[in-house]
Amino acid sequence: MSLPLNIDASGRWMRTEGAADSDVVVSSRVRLARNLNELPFPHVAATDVLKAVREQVTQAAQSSKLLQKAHHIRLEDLSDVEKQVLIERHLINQRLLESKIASVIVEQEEIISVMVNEEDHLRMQALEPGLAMIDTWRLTDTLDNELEGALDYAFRPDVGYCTACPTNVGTGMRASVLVHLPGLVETKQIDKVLKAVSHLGLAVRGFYGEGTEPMSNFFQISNQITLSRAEEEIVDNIEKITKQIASKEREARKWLYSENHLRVEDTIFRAWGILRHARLLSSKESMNLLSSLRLGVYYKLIPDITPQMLNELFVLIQPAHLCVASGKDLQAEDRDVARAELIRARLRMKAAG
Amino acid sequence: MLCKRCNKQEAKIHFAKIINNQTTEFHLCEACAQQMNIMGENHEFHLENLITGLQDQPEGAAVETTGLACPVCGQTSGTFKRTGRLGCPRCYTTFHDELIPLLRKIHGSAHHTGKSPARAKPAAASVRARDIKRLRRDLREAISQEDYERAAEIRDEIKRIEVELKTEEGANRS
Repeated sequence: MSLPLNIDASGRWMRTEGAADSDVVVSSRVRLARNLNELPFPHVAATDVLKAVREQVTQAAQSSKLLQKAHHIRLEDLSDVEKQVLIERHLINQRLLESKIASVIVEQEEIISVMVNEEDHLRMQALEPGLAMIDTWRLTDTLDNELEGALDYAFRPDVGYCTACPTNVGTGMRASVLVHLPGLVETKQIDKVLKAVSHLGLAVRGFYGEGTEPMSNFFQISNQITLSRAEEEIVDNIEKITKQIASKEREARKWLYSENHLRVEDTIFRAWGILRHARLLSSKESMNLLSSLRLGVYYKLIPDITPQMLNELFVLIQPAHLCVASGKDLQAEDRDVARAELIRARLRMKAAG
Repeated sequence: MLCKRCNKQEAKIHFAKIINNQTTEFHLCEACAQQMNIMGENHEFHLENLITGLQDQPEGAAVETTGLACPVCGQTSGTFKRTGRLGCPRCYTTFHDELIPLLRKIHGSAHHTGKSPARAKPAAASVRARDIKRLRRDLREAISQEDYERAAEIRDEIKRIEVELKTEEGANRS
């Protein structure tokens, strides 16, 4: 089977322009964990149970308005590289690959998706561009209500939605934002800010690119606590804290520029030069350079490029995307060639048109 | 510094978990971190497994303490302590007494206040009245141990449940 997705573009969440606070916040995500009543959780369930769960969820999705035109993708029908494409697009995670009977239901725009038989029977998510925590929650909530009409969720009034891991019980909700904080990193305030955030009950992690290399200056902030808070309270909290971080980040960017604008401009224009002319680009190098370029767009130094084009490039230059785009299983060096070509083409195309 | 778990090897993994401003520090050697499933063989971290580390665990190999097994999935309390995961939704009833203190450690409270499925009835008043009773007992215990921060949390939880019960009563009457 080939993937029913357009891999020359990313999901809409990465492309949409004009989203709130998108100079700092790349995307907002809400995911809900749900399980079916009286059935063992996926990590201990027998194959026939997993099959029955998948069947039930597939049926339920057909009655959902939001998933009317969604693609139903069964993981066993995919090649390894196609599975990686789904991971790179944030539609599934590594853990889903460990499940024997797994699938993912992806709505056409890739804004919403449902993983079946990951750690919990259902993991549904909505992913919106920019800072849009509350809208993202509402969308996930609607999807949840639609599915609930056709599924018997495991729920207990005292502890809420039952999940395989007690760290998710209650709301079953993990809400997160992906933020780009080059200013706070460069001014060495990042540790202080992240520490303060973790004291507020939120978890922060570096956002990982290929392998375990941290992707420079990108961080994911999410709620730790899923029980004893209402969903609105959790998303509202993240939205407020993210707004504060965004304003700190803007202050840092402003300070950096006023302090030594030549140095800032030099870094950005070097990145611009390399990205438009290099013949070999590793994943790590391109991400670092794209991060600088994203800052350059913010300072209005780079004409005709939008943060959204760059967000999209971050996905398209990942290894599996490069392999599927070229139709070949590329080795590391060939990928560096393909990556450099893709970036040159994209940046020139956009700059010209 | 020696590993706080085995007290033999040099502690190489250090982290702090902060819930409601209560800091729990962990200092572990690589072997113990791997045993607790916090760190995999390739040195990647599985922090969700930390919760097993939050339980009061006997030293050495996990022992099957209670003979408790879930009637639906057959999971035992020992398996839960080892893996940090439950077997099925019913486990939340089976292991209720062990889970509640654990949930408090993870989430700061063990009382769901979020969304519920339209078909689920809100917790019966009687169930929550029982919750309050249990919480009052916990409160006394916390005070006797001079754990005032914990006591304040329990007090707030009791208040919240009482307010909920009152508003519902009001709604039922009108």
